[in-house]
Amino acid sequence: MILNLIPVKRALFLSLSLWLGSITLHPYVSKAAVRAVGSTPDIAWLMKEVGGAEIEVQSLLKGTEDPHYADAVPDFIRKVAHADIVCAVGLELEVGWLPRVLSRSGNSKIQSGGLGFCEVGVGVKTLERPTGNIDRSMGDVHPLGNPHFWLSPVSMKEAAVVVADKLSKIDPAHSQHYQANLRKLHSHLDQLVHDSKRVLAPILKKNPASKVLEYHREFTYLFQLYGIPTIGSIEEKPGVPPSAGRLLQVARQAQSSDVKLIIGTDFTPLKPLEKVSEVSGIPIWTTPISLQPSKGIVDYLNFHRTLVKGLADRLASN
Amino acid sequence: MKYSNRLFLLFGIALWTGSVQAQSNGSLQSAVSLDLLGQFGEPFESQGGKVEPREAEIILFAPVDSLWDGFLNLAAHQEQGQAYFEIHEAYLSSSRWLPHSQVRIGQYFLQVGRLNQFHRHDWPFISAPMVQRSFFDNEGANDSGVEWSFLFPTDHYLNLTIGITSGWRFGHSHSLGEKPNVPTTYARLSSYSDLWSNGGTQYGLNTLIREDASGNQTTLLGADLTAKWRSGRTLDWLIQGEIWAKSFSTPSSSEWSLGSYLFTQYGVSQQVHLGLRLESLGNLSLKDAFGTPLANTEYAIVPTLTYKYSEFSTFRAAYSMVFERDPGEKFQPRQFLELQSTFIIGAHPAHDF
Repeated sequence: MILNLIPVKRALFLSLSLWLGSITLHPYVSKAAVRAVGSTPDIAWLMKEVGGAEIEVQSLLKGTEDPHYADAVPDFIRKVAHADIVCAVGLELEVGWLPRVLSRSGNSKIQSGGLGFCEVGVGVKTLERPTGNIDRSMGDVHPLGNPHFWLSPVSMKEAAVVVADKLSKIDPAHSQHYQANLRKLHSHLDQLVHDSKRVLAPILKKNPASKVLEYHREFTYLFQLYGIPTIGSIEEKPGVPPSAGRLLQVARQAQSSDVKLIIGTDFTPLKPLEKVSEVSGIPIWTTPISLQPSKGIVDYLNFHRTLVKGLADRLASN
Repeated sequence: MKYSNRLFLLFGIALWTGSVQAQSNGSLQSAVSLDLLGQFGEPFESQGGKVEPREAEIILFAPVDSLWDGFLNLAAHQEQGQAYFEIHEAYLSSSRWLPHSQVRIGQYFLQVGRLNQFHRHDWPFISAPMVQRSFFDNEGANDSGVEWSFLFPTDHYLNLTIGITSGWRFGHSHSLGEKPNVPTTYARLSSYSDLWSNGGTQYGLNTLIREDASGNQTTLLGADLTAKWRSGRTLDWLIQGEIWAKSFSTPSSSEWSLGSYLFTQYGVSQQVHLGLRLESLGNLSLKDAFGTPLANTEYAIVPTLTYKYSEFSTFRAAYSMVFERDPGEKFQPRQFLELQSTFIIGAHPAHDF
């Protein structure tokens, strides 16, 4: 009965207005003071730890992708369009896709050089920074150094400083809160390094000559931090798939250098690893190198402990 | 201007941009791409039997000021044995002006459909499908005007692009064209959804309306879909397709045409990809003297092998089997082979979805 009292056209107009209003305003209805986006789950975790309750964070990548080779997925553009701050690994890791995501977002706050954009890599003491003339004949070389620093809690501490500074600038009212969270995070990461060293030290002491071999230089910071000897990478040039000759050469080198483990990520191409393993007889271990929220890997501290334990177990058993 | 002079000019600009880039610490970015093509058999273009540059492009881009970015694309290419040097695109673009918006002003490839959005050397196959060639051009629709892309502030990706261009030219042209009665207008509404196992798909609805100087009206309606599955460094699967309907009306007659293509590519490895393109194009309005529809739809099957040594260099081979026919007649198959090599130097190419 009551429906008959409302003219149909007016009801339709009202419904349409409510629907349009809800979809338009929905992204702005946020309890947090700052809407943040991290390019990877690890950077998003870092931002959440520093930002605490004051920020709401989303990650662009899921952690299962190779961050070099991602596409400028339209959904990334949508996430970035609503953000107050976007933080990336930097050091040209996301050079292929993030600039396109930012430029298509129509969000003036987070454009490169803007107040809401940060590359945490600028605060990290990078390894393998090339010197002299750099060009693509050397492979996919990163002129500012190896960008895969997030497996080192020490580098994450340095990156967190950049995040805290940036958050303090865009949200000065909560600056003290961010700095306090930063101190707390630093202490957790220090403890993490301490615990991890205790796990690895006896194994490394027992087999000081044991070495590891990685596919791409994604574990370099981890190896350097814990003093794990390595003979380098299966790739001769970064980003360039190794030739059959290279695989044979590196397999023989691994055999003669007392390499105990060949390490790859969960997205490393398996065939080259298997070939080197087949020739050298050295076992392979593949592991995630990023948080993967869709698989329940959401906490960096736990993830790092699991990674270190997995590495320690394999080094001990080989 | 002689071809050698044009090349000299091109070379000079390339050197100049290199030196400017060095001086300005990279704020001006430049890239050069080269597309070498060989066609053997009975190709569409008249340059069969030899391998030569199809196109060389110099792309320059940089922030102009705190609001605008500038983009310039200079291209030299071969056509019917003639060499041309011209400005492909020259526009100002801004993501910092209007909220949720990207604006382009100048001369550019119109953001309708899928292929129009990419330069030819970035396509996953060598040559344009029949529908693209017939309704747009060998490369894409290019004109001068204003384009506005608006990203709806919703939980789901929804983007609307609308544009208005002078309409003096449409598709590839070496002349200015003629002043039309009304400008060309176009729109694209696109969305995106995640798919299982690291996959995603983008889909769009497109329309374009144009009237030429003689009052002939063209209306294009189209849909496009792109789906990708990627694991690590390998693009495991790519599915890309477009379907377009075209209405062409002169003051005395009108006709409808329909064309489509579907390209599926499987990634054997990070570097090797196998693809297959199926396509069709036909005039729906053709009738014989008794008013009976005349079968005239043509088809093509194009298997394609791609070898990408790196992100910066690609080698491709495609074998085209085209089933052409005169209206109402039997198919007359013809086949040809294409070999392509492209490379890009300078700024890192964008990984568009």
